[in-house]
Amino acid sequence: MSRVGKSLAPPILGACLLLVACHPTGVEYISDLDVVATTHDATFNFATPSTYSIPDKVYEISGDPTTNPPSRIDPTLEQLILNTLKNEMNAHGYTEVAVTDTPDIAVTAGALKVTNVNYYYGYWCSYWSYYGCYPYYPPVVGVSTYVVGTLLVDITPFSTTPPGNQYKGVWTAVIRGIQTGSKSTDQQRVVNGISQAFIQSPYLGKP
Amino acid sequence: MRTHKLLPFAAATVLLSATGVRAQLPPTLVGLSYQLSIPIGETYNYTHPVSWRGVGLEVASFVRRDLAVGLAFGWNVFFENITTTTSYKGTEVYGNQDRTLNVWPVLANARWFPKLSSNRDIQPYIGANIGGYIIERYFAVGQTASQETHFHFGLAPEIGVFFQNPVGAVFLSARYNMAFASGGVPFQQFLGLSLGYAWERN
Repeated sequence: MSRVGKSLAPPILGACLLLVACHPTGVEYISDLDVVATTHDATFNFATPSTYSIPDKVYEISGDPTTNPPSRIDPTLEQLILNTLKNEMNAHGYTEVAVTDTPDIAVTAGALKVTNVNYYYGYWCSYWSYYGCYPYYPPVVGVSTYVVGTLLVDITPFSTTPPGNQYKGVWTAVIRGIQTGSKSTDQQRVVNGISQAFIQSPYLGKP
Repeated sequence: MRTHKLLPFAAATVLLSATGVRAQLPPTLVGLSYQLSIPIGETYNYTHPVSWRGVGLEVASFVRRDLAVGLAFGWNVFFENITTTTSYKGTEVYGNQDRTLNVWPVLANARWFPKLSSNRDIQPYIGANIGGYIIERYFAVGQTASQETHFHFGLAPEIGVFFQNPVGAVFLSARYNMAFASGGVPFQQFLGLSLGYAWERN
């Protein structure tokens, strides 16, 4: 009895471990890595303001804050972002006015671009173990880069005389993704991200 | 001379008694099983799908003809890929999420095999498990991931049935696993269904 059991044990155990070890991950496309995060001031009543203002520029937030004027993002993408924000704000019952008309809230957007570089190296012995490891062969070096873009959107109560000359935001959205290299695809992802930020913020808008 | 005559008798007595002791030793069962797990409660809230990745290893010794005590080890993997919004410390995060629970039960158990009929080839049982669950919880959204592992105290009632055959036994069981909250990870529950094969280890 036990011999039969013992002889059956390895294949059963092996099959079970194979089943368990099969562990997929869900990321198939770059867009699967897109993230939209929003946070807000819970004490602020977003139904109170009626008017908003939005600048006509989207600046790029770079590592050097002394750059003056700061860089701007691609004009086509900039316009797309501003138009999408306006559409969403209007759809939520807010009315756009010029900043000189003292709006109730201001909507601002900024972009962040980070290039990530990964590299690795290894000796040929990893690939040709049959021949042993010869360190005098040049190592295999691989490099990969990818660009992560982040759009930051803020809503701030507007004041011509803010206390301490500082504006305190009441809503922030972070829309983050990896650049695919396809302009039209990335633009669509930005639009989807902005829309999602408003969708997941049901407290926004006039009743 | 008289002593010499007694020696074979003494030796035979020792051998026979040793054989008798040997026969009374509780047989040890070793079992391997494939496990399906149905998430419940907070486990379900974290990963909805039924886990079909599970394996179990059981060792049991009969202390009485109708009572066995043993150890149960396992590995159950719950996984879900979902695109949804999650709330975390006042921030709503939307994205494609990978959620994984790796659960390793380490349990001591007792099983009672009631005599329901003269047919011992089909033997149901009722069991109780106590011990711990090592649970690794993995969460990834976008390019960010977090992982935490905690030991949870746990209990698990169990029912099952052995179908004995000349070379071992096939068994089916249902175990209700309850791992109490630990390290900020809430109470976890899942129903494990096992199909396994057991054999006697002398």
